[in-house]
Amino acid sequence: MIVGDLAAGELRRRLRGSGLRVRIGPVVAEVRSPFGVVESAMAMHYAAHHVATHAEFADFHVAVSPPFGPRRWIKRQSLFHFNGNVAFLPLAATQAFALLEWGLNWCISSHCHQFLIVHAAVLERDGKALILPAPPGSGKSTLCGALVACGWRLFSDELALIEPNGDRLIALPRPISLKNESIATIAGFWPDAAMSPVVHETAKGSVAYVRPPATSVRLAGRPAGPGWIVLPQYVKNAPTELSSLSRCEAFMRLVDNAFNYNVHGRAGFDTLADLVAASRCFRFRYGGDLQEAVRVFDALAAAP
Amino acid sequence: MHDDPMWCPVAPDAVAWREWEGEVVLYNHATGDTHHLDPFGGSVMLSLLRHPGGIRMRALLQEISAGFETEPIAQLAGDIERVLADLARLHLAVRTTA
Amino acid sequence: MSGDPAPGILFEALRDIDRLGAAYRDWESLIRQARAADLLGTLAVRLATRDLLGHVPAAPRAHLTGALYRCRAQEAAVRREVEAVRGILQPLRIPVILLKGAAYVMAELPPARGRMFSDVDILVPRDALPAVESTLMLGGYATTHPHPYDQRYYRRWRHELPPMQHVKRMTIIDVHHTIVADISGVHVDTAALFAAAVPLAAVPGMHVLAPVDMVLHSATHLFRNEDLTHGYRDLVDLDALLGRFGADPAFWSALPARASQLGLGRPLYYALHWTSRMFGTVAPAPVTAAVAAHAPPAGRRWLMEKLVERALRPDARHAATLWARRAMYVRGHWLKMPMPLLAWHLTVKAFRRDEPSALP
Repeated sequence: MIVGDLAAGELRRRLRGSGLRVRIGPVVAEVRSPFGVVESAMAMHYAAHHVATHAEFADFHVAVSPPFGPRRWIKRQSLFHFNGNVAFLPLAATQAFALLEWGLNWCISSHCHQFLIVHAAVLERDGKALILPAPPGSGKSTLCGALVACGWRLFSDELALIEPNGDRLIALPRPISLKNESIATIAGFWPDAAMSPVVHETAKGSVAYVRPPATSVRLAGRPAGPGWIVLPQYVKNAPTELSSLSRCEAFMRLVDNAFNYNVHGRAGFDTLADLVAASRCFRFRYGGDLQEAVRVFDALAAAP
Repeated sequence: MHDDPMWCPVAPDAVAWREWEGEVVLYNHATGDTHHLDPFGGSVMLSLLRHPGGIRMRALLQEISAGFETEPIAQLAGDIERVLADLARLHLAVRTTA
Repeated sequence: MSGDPAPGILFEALRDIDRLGAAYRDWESLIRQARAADLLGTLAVRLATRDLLGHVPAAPRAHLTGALYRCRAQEAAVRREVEAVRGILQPLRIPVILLKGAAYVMAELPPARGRMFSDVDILVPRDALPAVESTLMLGGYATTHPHPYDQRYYRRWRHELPPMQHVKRMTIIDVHHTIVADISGVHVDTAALFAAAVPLAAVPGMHVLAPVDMVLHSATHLFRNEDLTHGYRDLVDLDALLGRFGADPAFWSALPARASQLGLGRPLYYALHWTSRMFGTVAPAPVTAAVAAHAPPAGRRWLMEKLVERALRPDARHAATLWARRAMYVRGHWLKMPMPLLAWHLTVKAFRRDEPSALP
């Protein structure tokens, strides 16, 4: 059963009671929240995700709820809880869903050490993974949105999960987070995108989420092998350019963006090295022409 | 007598490396650090790793000059010494008194 | 409310790991409790040691193996850090005693396996403190508490320098000059600790406390400490030490006398009482008899029992536990400094708002 199949009121009942258990790729998260904004966001973005029963093992138990005390009612705040403990400082209640998503990123990147986890967007075509490791501001999320709009399968917009010994990438389809100008750009490029209302004045500016395509969610169990590693760079109005990237540099970029490289020690080095050796590595600069950007990546996928 | 110091890689068993397009990336479990070496630094480091028991400066110079034929020997020696000093600072190489 | 981990599951698992065989069903609750108590790694190590990991279903097993990887990596980091500190302090030619986690790792004691130790704690002679501090600074460590109030608090009222952090490695070192704060009225003879310290062959110049002193330090840290959030975890460590050292009869015969000598009889009483209650660890009868002399008065015993049992339970969300923890926190603080000073310190702490945001 998927979240979208839940009877009217059942989603709310679970979120406010015993918890809504959702399968997201390799993990099951149990989510609780009394906030209406979280309920409607879950209904929109996780509609295609499988509901897990309480008999199945849940990996993370999270909650987003108001604090005790005056901020429960006045200038309402939201707090993120993991396993019963508050994890971060409070945010305004309007940002409760963003807080949930950031909290889930933190849970996965801090605890899923069965994978090597790199801060990168990952997409799939023909069984091969396109990895876009990049710090914020590089245009990674905009590119990710555009590629998904044009048929690339979404693995994740933030977290590359790499299996050591084999270098398969594991999908973790979740809503794509867009910030600031990126929101309008994607709304224009992908008019059919299911986008939740923009939330303003977060620590990262304005934030909106795009629902992952149902096929990406449905095929989440299918891993991908190494394909391409591309470092994106957004430079306003610059011409689109794909250029070569040395493997050593691609490797170091993955190391710099890995959450748990140190945890894996030498095995981490070997995993990333094998991945780089089996991938084609590029630098990609683009200035906002998303059509052309997608054409470049489609051509990469079509090349022998 | 001319000084011909011996250089050893530190903890060769703790090191994993890959070479692509002449450059080298290297992981040192003894320090937990990961390094990216350019072709020259990489070739010096790989020479050391080929001689875990140590290699004398003169022999090292001979090995490296085979790959960088265009450089005059005196300059090459100076460059090698600079790289070795860097590697020592990174706890990748150590000069012994043997 | 469904989803609440049932209390006692973690207790039972750590008392008798063999019950976690192929038929075990409570993995979700157990892993939650273990994580909350900071004992996930310890649980994983015990399962691995008994060859039981293969019986764990894949989904919970991923959390256990993940914890094992983390602990192994952390142990390697602690070893590197200890070696770096050894190198920095070596020119001073002073004796240095490693405490707590760093000691367990370097001496290869049972609490080391499966635990995440984040700081390196060292004990140095008091008059060497200025030299140690400046040498560490030259070695790249900077203070983490620049606020003058905190500096005074740590230096004058606790038994350590404010924690120092290495600017590149971001690792933390805590430098102590005694194992109990001076101001609370109990004075532990640090010279006696140094006289009995055991040198570490692998780390020249560095030592660990003698076994009896290590147990007494662990007991003191636990039962006089202000923050019992990890009380159960620390008790697990203490029990592991008793298990290792207790194989030597000389350890037991020396323990009560040493506790009296150092003025740490009360923490020892609690330590033996609670490891017996929680893990069934039984000290030899003469030891229990000798230590009974340090028991608290009957009235306070009842309150302490209730407080400690509640606080030690690794269920952070239980309201009664939270209250009990807070009471233990106040008690711990009270033991460290006189009441009027304590009230002022807590007030200042509450008003300072310079904690960095933890947003990702």
